[in-house]
Amino acid sequence: MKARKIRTDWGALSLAHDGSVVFCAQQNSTLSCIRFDSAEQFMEAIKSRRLLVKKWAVAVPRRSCILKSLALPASDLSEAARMIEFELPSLVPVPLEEVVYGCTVLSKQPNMLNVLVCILKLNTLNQHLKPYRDIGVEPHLVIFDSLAIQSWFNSTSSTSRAAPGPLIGVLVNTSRSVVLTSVKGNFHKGNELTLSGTDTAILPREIVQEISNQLEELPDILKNKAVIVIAGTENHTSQIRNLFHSKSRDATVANETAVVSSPEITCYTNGKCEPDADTHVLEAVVAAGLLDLAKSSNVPFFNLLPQEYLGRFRRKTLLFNCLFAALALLMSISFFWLCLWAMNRRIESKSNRIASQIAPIESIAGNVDKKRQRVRAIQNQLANRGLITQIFQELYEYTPNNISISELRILPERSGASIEIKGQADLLSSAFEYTDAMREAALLKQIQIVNAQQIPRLGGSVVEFQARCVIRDH
Amino acid sequence: MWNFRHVVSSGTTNPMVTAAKNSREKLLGAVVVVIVAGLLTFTLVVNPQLKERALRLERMNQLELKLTKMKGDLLAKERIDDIYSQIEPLIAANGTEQQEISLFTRELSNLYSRLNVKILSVKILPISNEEFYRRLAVKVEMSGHIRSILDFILSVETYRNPIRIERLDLRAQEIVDNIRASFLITKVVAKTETQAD
Repeated sequence: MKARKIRTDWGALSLAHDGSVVFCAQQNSTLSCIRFDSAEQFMEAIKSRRLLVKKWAVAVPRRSCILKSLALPASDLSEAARMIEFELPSLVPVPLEEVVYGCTVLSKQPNMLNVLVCILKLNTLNQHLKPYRDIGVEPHLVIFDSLAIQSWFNSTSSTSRAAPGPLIGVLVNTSRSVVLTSVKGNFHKGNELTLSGTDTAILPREIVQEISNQLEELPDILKNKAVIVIAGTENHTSQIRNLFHSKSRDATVANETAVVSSPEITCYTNGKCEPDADTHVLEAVVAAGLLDLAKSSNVPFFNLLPQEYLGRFRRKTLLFNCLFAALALLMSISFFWLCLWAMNRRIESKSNRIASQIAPIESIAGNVDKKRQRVRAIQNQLANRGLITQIFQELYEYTPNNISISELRILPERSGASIEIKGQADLLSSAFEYTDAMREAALLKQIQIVNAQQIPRLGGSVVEFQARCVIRDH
Repeated sequence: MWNFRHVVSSGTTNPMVTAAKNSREKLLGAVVVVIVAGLLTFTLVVNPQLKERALRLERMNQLELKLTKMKGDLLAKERIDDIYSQIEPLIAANGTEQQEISLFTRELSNLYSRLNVKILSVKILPISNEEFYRRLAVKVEMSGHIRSILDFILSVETYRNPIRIERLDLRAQEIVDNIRASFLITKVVAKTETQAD
């Protein structure tokens, strides 16, 4: 039965000496490590897309790096990194174009930064990366292995430790090879990281002696704060722990010890890897440590890959993303255009359908419309016929004798008429009484005096007035 | 923390500042390209379809309106035919525009010639051409005794053909009961089939 399908952003890879490949990834905050028996098996898993990993993290051996300590007048690490560029020629006798370097803070003083510089030849880096590239893995993060192991010890023991302090990690596996990480103080504050190598077989007593030696190197103030973290198979870890405790009883200083379980490894083909799984514990620990570092925000500072390579990768990613976005946009626009086109087609077809309904009745309906318009025109023409005659009749009948009309304007409308009258009266009161006089009239009962003024004339005066009447709904 | 970097040669200007400037310029360039591409796409691809859609929608709405109106016309066909058959003699066409004007003025002349009025002017106004009929208009100014003017109004309002006084102005004159009158008189006549087309 093969392992389940894994899809992840970061995958860590470690190649063992026996040709097997250990892969670790974190899914749903659970670490899972898979051992592939061979590179071919791993490549098959990649090819069959059972492993879908966006970015790869790999480790290079610590012994390949050259470590130098520098004191620089820098305020932060980035400033120090720029200064190191000028210091490099004095540190290594290699052309600058052929090396990569890294730095870390050892200690801070006012206006001074003590940094540890790690220098690696580009050729060496490429040699270490070649086996990974051969199996189709292009790393995005390259870190030396001791840093990864130290990171794993730090992260696994962080919950069990009461307070941060110096850490000595011991990793033992079934082949009795031992990895001993020793720092003078915390790794971030410490000096050089010591890795004893995987092939060295050291007996538990010798291991305890080595731990004691490491403790002796610590300053007095840190000796009792140091924590010994032991990982590996249960037999060995308990043996070492008991031995260390019995030795500590004789000593004046008692150190805290913690036992942590190493990452569980499953085999790609058979599931649980028994009984030889612990032979690859070191690779699993390195891979797990790589994952811890990969997820940290300080990834760019750990990375040993040349900036130009990372830039190329970023450009490639950017190009891919741009192309993808452009394609998606193009498809969206095309889809939108097609929607509009389809909508237009639908409108056009509906219009054609209406036009086909209109065609057979157009002639008849047109004829009806023609007649209707003519009928309406004649009706308008004949509307209110006799109205003017009737208006004259009422004016003749109801206008008092002391009123004379000098001007009359009639504007017949469809449902009435508008009338304006100018006239004279002998008195102002007579002019206004004109309205009362017309009250009995059928059409002109709404007549209103809009203006009246007395004008002096020879031998007296005359009142000139204006009246207006609107006849509606006749 | 370890900070591994590939060695680069340092220049005279601050490379970080230059990089920041380049990044801003690239971003600005990308924004400009996106905006220009968006505008071009809208102008060349989307907008023509939107315009086409607006045109087609307008045409469809007009057709729908026309169809509804025609259906309404068909429903009222019998009633309109009945009414039209009654008024058809009143609106019947009698030839060209000139012939119609000539006939109209002759009809008016017949109406006022028998009255004791003085014709001051007869002015033919522009013809209003509707889709299926035309409206002829004549402005007549006359003076005379009020009784004669009223006779003319009465004869117009009772005339057999559909002529109508659209506007009437009366003004008293120095002589008692003498007035000056101005009429705007219209007549509606049908267009023949060829004229309607």
